[in-house]
Amino acid sequence: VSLAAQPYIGSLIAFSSNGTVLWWTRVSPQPKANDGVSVLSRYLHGLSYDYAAKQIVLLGQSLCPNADSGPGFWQGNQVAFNRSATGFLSGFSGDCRNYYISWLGKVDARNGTLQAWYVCYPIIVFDILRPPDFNCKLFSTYVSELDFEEDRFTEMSSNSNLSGWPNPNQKDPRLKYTETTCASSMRVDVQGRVYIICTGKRFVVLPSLSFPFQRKKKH
Amino acid sequence: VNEVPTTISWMYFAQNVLPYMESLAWDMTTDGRILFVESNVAPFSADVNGYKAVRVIGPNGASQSFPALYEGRLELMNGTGILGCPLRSRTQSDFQLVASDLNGGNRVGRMPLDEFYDKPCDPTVPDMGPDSSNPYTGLQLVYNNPRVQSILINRLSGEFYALLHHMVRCDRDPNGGSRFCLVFLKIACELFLTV
Repeated sequence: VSLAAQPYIGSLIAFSSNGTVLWWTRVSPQPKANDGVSVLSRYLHGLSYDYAAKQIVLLGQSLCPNADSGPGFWQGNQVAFNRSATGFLSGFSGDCRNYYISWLGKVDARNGTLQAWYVCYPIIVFDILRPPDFNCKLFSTYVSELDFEEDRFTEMSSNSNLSGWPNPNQKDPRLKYTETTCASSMRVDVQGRVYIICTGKRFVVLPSLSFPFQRKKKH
Repeated sequence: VNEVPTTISWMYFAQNVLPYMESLAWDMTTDGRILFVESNVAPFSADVNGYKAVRVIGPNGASQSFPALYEGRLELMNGTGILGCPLRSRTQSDFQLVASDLNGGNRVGRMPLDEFYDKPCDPTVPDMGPDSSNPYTGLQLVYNNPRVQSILINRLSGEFYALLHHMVRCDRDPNGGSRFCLVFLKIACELFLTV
């Protein structure tokens, strides 16, 4: 076995000010021996603190998770803290082609529990002059560019801020790499809003975007 | 810096073996203490005798000028050593403790690194190396030296958080099965594209 082919597992460990381990999490299910699924590489690259909500913000990367390949990070619609929650992009969708895709999540700084958060559109805060909509709840979310070689979008989002773009949790849209492009560059402002920088060929844009050629054609 | 910088107040040579372009994990408190990861071994190296620990530097640049907070090496019971026993359970009951995984499921092992080893850590032989897999998870380390990706201090509480990356084997299973590994396919694709 080539050592370069071994997967990595990222973990978050919280310590008290005197160095005692308080809690720890991998923000993903613990594998079980002989369960027949692979061990996905799951990196945690970004670490920041939301002082408004006393939550820790994590930016990770995972190989595309599906039923055969084993679980990735906890999905936005599998948050025990709030079972009715959905993330902006709750889980991986499309065909698993060994892509690395990114993930954002928040955990409670007191105990490590995966948490609810209240920022919408973390996918790319492209136009910072227009802050995102703060009325929608988000928990954990995947972050990825969209593959438009095969358009599996049919249902437009009812959210006016998406400007005619489809709901990313509908119709199995195909996701592609974020690879190293959403690496560790993440910041959190005093209100708990999360900012990341990624590169991608196609991504959802808000109606205020300065470059109209990137806008989605209306159906 | 609150005036024109004209001199250096202090300098501390931090020991850490890092590959090219990999950055040292560090953060600082509001009262001028700096935490960083000190290590004499590279991430994912095979040296079982290395040490890796979170160290604090005081505002005057002197290491250990504060109480032994954050201090830890291989054999220290109460420090934040990263290798050896500090992040592993010492007793069988802690090692096989079933607890919440913090999102509605369960996990085995009280301490963060239990799931990579086949038994609790023996402080008299603290660093046994990655020679066997955990019976509950099937996970086994390739190398016991992790990468500490980053350190973050909570500036209100003084608590701090660390991101660790461990390299695990995907070809071992304690029950005779084998885990497959999607990483292989990705590596193969990259080789193809390179050619």
